[in-house]
Amino acid sequence: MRSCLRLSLVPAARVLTAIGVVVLVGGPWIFDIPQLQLLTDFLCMLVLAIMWNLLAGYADIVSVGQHGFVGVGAYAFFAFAVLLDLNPYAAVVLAGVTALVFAIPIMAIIFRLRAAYLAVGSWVVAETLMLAAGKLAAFGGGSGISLPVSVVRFFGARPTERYTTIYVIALALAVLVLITTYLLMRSSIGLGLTAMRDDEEAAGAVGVNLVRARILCFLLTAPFLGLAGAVITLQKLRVAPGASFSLVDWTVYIIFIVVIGGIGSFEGPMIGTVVFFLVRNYLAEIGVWHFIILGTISIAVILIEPRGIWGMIRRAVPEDLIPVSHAPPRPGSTPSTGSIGQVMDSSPG
Amino acid sequence: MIGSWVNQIVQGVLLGGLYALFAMGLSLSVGVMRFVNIAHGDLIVLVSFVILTLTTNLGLGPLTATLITLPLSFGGGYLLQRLLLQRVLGKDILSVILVTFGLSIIIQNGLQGSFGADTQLVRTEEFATATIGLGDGINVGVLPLTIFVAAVAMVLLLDLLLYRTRVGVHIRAVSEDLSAANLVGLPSARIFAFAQGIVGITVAVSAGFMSVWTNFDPTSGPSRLLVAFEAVVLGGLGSLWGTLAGGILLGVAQSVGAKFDVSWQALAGNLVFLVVFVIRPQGLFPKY
Amino acid sequence: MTVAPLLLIEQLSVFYGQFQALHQVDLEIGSGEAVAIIGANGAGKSSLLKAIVRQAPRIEGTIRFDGEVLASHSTSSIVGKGIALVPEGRRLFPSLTVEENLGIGRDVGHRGRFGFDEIYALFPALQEKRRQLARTLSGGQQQMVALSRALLSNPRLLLCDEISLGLAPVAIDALYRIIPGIQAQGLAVVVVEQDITRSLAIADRFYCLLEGRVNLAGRPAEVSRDVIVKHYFGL
Repeated sequence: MRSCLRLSLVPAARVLTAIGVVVLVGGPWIFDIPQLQLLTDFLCMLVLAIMWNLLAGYADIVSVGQHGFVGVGAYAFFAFAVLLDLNPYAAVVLAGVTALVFAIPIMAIIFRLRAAYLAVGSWVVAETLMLAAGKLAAFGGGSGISLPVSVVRFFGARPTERYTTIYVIALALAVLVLITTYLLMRSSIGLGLTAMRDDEEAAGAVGVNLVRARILCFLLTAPFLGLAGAVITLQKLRVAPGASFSLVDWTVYIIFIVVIGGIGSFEGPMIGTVVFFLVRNYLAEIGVWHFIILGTISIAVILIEPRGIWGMIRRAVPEDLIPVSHAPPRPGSTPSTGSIGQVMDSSPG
Repeated sequence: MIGSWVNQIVQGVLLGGLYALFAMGLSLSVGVMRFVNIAHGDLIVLVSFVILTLTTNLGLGPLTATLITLPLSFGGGYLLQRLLLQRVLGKDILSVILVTFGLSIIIQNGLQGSFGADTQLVRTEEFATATIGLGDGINVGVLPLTIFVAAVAMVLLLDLLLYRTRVGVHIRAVSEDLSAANLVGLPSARIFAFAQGIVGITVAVSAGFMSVWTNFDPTSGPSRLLVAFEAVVLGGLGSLWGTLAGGILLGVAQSVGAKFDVSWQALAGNLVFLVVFVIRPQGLFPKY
Repeated sequence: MTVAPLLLIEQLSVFYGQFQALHQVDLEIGSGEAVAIIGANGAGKSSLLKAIVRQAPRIEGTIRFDGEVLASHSTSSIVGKGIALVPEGRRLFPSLTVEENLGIGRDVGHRGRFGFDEIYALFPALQEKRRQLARTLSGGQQQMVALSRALLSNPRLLLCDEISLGLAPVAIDALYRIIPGIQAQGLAVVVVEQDITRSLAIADRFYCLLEGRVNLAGRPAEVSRDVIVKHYFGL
C-alpha cells in the first residue's frame, strides 16, 4: 500500500506542480486582471515565505522583523524611481541592493543576540525603521505618499498592460528566488544548512561553518525581501509606514504560512502559501476570527506535527517533491534524520 | 529653561517605573526559563481589559479590581506554563517563539472581537491627575510617583523571593542548571509553573497601573513587549535591578524625545536602545 | 535471597537516539548492601544510574524499587520514594551557597537520620563554608556537598556516579571512608567507578559492565583480581 502510494503520489504531485508552473507562466493570457493581481500577491507572499523559511528553518535565525526589509525595499524603490527619477526597472533592482546594504549593519547589531532575543531584536529594528520612515517628509511622513502617475504609466499606459507587467516582474522574482534557493540547497552550503537544520551540534562537529552559513543566509534573503517590497509598492501604488512596513502582512501571515505549510523544507512554503490564499479567500468575511483560527492552527501544528502539512505528507512519502537533498533516497528511511544524524550520535558514556 | 528639562527628565524617570514594571515579568521568565514570551505585552493588555470589565460592569474601584486579578493572574500564569509552554520549552527555540507568537495573535484578536478596537482607559477621578510639588517648579503626578515606588518595591519583593525563600532557591537552581536540577529530583515543571505564576502577578500589577494611566487598546500588546524587551536587554539579562535601570533609561529617552516633538517619543526610545546595545551588548548590569 | 531485593532491574535497555547504551541488563541491590559497578569509559554505567532515576531518553525493561515498578514516575517522585543520585561531575549549583545546595537535598526528600547537624558532623569543613558560594570550593569539598545533598534526602538507596573523578587521592580516601558508615545507617549504596581498587574494597558485591552488558558479577573476595581486570577490559 505504501509503495503504491509512493509510486502514484510523487509523480502525480510533480505533474501537478509542473502544470501549476505552466499556468503561472501563461498567466497573462489565461487570467483576467483581478486574478492577475491576486496571483501577484500570491507570488510576493511566496517569495517572503521562502526567504523566512530559509532563515528560520535552516539557518536557525527566527526573524520577527523581516517586514523591515520589505519596507526598506519599498521606500528605496520610491526614492530611486520618484525622487531621483531613475528608470523604474533600475529602481526595482536598486531597491534590492539597498536592502542588502541595510542588512549589513542590521546583521552586525542583531547577531549579537541569540534565538528568541534575536527574534524580538529584529522586531525592534523593523519597528525603528518604520518609525524613522514616518519622519521623512519627502516620503509623505506618517501618512505616506502615492506613486506619481508618470511612474505608474511607465509600466503601461493602460491598467491591463500595467498589471500584466507587474505580474511578470513578480513572476520573474519568484522564479529567481526559487532557482537561487534550489541552487543554494544543492550546493555545499546547502548541505551545511540541511545539516544545521537536522542537528546543529553535529554539524558544527563535522566542520560546517555555522557562523558563515548564517551570515550568508541573512545577506541572501535581504535583497530578495527588498525586491519584493518594490513589487508590493507597484501593486499598492503607494508607500506608507504602516502599509510598507506592515508587521501583519509581511511577517505574521508569512510565519503562519511557513509553519503550517512545513518549516525547514523546500516544499513547505509553497504549500503554505497556497493553503493561505485558499483560506483567506473563503474566510475573508469572518474578520478577526481568521486570525484566531490561524493562530490556533499554528500552535496546534507546532505541538502535534512540527513539520507542518508537508511533514504529514512526508510521513507517507519519504521523497522530496523537488529533489534538493544530497543523499540518494533510501527506501524506508525517515526523512528528517539525515545521514549526518545517524553518524554523529554522541556516546553518552 | 533648565527647570523644564529637569522636569522632563523626572517625568521620564517616573515613566521608566512603569516600563520597569512591564519588564519585570519578562526579566523573570528570561532569567529563569530562558525564553522570551512574545505574548507578554498582550497578557498585560488582557488583564487590563479584565480590570476594565470589573470596573465598568461591576462598578468596582480600580484598586479592588486589580487585587482581584492578582490571584487570577497567578493561576493563569501557572496553567499557561503547565499546560502549554512546558510542552514546548524542552524543544527547540523556534517552537517557543512560534507558540507564544501564535498566542499573542490570538489574544489581540480575541480582545478586538470582544471589545472592539477603541482605546480604553480606566477612570480614577483625581488620582490620575493629582500632583505633588517637589520644589523648584517641578511637579510630579501622584500616580506616576506611586508607579515608580511600586516598581522599586516589586524589585525588592522579587529579590526577597529569590534569595530568602526556599522556593526562591529552587527557582535559582533550575535557572542555573536545569539538567542537574532534574537529576537530583527537583520538580522543574512545577517550579517553572510557579515562576510563571509570579510573572502573572507582575503582569497584573503592571496592568493595574497601566490601565489607569495610559490609553490602551487590543493591539497595544506588541509595543509593551518591545519596551519590556528593550528594558531587559539594556539592563542586562538576569538582573532585576538592571531591568529597573533599563526601564528608567528608556523612559528618560522617550521623555526627552517627546520634548522635541511628540512623534519622536517612540523612535527616541528605540534609537537609544539600539545605540546602547551596540556599545554594550551585554547590558548595564549583566549576570551572564 | 529470601528477602526481595530493594532494587530489581530486569532486562534494562537504554537508548540514546539510535545508539543503545545498555543491552538487557539484569541487576539487583539488596537492602543495606554496598554494590560496586565497574567498567571502562562508555560501558554504560552512568546510563544505568540515570535510567534508575528516569533521566535517560528511552528506557526499556523493568525497574522495581521495593516491589514497586518505576515506570512513568517523574524523577522527583522517585527521589521522594527514597532513591538519591550523586551525579557524575558533582553538578552542584555554582551560584548557590553550600547551605542552599544542601537544602535542596533536604527539600526533595524527607526527614530522617541525616539532617544538617549530622552532615556537619561528618564534614566539618562544610559547616565552616556553609555561606560560601559552591563555586568557591575545591573539588573534594564540592564532592562532599554533592554527597551530602543526596544524604539529606534520607534515601534508602544511594547512587554514587564516579565520585572519585578528578579528585586527589587523599580526598577520595576521605570520601570512601564514609561509605561503610552510611551503609551502617541502613542505606544501600551503589558505587559506579572506573577505579577498581577503592570501589571493590568497600563493596559487598560487584557487577562489571562492558559495552552495555554485564559480563561478570560476584563478591570481590571470591573473584581474583586478574579475572576482574580481564572482564573490565573485555580481554
